Amino acid sequence: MNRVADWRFHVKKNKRKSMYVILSFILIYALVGLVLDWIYLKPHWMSTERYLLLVLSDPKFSFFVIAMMAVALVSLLVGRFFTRAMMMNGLEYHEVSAQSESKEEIALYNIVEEMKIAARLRAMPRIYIVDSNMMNAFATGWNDKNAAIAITRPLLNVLTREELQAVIAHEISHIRHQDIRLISSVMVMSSLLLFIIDVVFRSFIYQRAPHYGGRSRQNNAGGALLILIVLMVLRLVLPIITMALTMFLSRSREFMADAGCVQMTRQNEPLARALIKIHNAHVEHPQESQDAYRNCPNESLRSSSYLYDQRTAGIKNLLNINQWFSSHPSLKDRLIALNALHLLSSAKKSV
Amino acid sequence: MDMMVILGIIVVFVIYIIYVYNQLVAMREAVRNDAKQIDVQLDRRFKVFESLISSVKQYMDYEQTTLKDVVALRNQAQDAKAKGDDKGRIAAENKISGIVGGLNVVFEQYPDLKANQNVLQLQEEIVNTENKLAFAKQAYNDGIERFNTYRISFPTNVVANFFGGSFPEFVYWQLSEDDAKKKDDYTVNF
Repeated sequence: MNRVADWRFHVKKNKRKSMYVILSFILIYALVGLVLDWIYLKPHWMSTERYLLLVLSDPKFSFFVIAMMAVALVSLLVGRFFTRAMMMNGLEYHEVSAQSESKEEIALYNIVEEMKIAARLRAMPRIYIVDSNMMNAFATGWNDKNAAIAITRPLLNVLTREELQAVIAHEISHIRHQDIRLISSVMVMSSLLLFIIDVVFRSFIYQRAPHYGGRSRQNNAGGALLILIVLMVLRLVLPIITMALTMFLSRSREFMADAGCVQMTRQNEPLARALIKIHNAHVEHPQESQDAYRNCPNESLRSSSYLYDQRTAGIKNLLNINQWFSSHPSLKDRLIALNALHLLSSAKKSV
Repeated sequence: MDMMVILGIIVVFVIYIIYVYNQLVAMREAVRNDAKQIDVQLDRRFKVFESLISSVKQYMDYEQTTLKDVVALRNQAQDAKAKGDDKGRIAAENKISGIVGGLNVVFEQYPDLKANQNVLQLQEEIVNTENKLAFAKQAYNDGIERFNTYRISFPTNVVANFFGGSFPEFVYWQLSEDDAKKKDDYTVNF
């Protein structure tokens, strides 16, 4: 059987990847805990080697390792129940139901229901319309029972029924392939970790940290400097690790979702046309688009979940480390995979 | 020692049979579930049809014959279903799909109808219902493909045949050959 086209195989792979991601994050959490232990719990007369041996044997010295691992587990629970809320946080949106008043909203609801049947999902995802100036869509949630699909108002306005169906099929594929869980676990665990490191970093700078083990930091200026350097390195390196992980996970995700869309709708051109419409809107209005993304709080949480990556249109914010690399394949590569390269001529050149 | 080897082979063999059996059951139940989904959509379509026909009544007398046709075909399909005649049932339901296509053309000829909010809403309902039906059939056929492929492939077919009656091959939901020919030959006349 052709493995690339078999989404069940992909779901298995994604489950395994999710497991790896979660385990590696727990490991990173434990390492950060170890650093904290070393900062706060190591008696200053003890050598680091001896201390490392002690940490493994005596819980008195490994408080932070255990605490950080507990935090990691709790953050997974948070992800299980609150990713949807986190992803929607900062956006202006409303939910669409079958009882909606407007014609477009009923059509949107119907289309999602159709695609849910095509994908054989067990539960109907929630549908949100986001009032924002950008053209994009994304799916989020932990499993198919608490999943949600969000689409922005401008995108909803320009797509035909066929194209909208293709976009929804792409997002439903993300739900069916369990990409959303993978992204959610990375998102929750990485953002919480950065938060913890920030707190420690600040409390250390302002010397408000509690003193464990009766150690006086003032007597040990060299040690304090070392700790500061370790914290700063962590602060710099962790986002890069997170980004690398996201890249590792997203390499084939978008292609798979595009393929899922074609498998469900048995059509390739509507998705290609929708992608080109979104691309052209980004290229024609770079400033408006960039402002729209910039004005949304928590944008970095969502950036890898979008249907279309704004960086494909050359819109980049180089000050933001999350934007150095694109998590999505280029428009051309996606059109090639969709066997719709002949439509590329209607796409505007990116700046 | 020899006994152990033989015993080992038997154990592996039994585990394999159990595995194949469970796979077959899972796929068969998925197909049956998909078939239920088609039933749900067919019922829904019939209801949408009834409300549509009652709301266009005042605009055209076309509905009198259409309504009779739909009801007759629906009864035919229900009878076939009761008898377990899948092919007859599929043929009847497909004919209703044919009428739906005709209705959309008729709408275009009546400006009054196109302005009627109620009818517009029902038009979206029809598209929606037909799409749902199409996707339910698609999921059903995909499920059958998976099941049948597994069922017929070697060596799983040996196990499947051993359990014989529990795993019959399913009939794909498709147009009858006459219908397919008609649609193939169809041209638009202006």
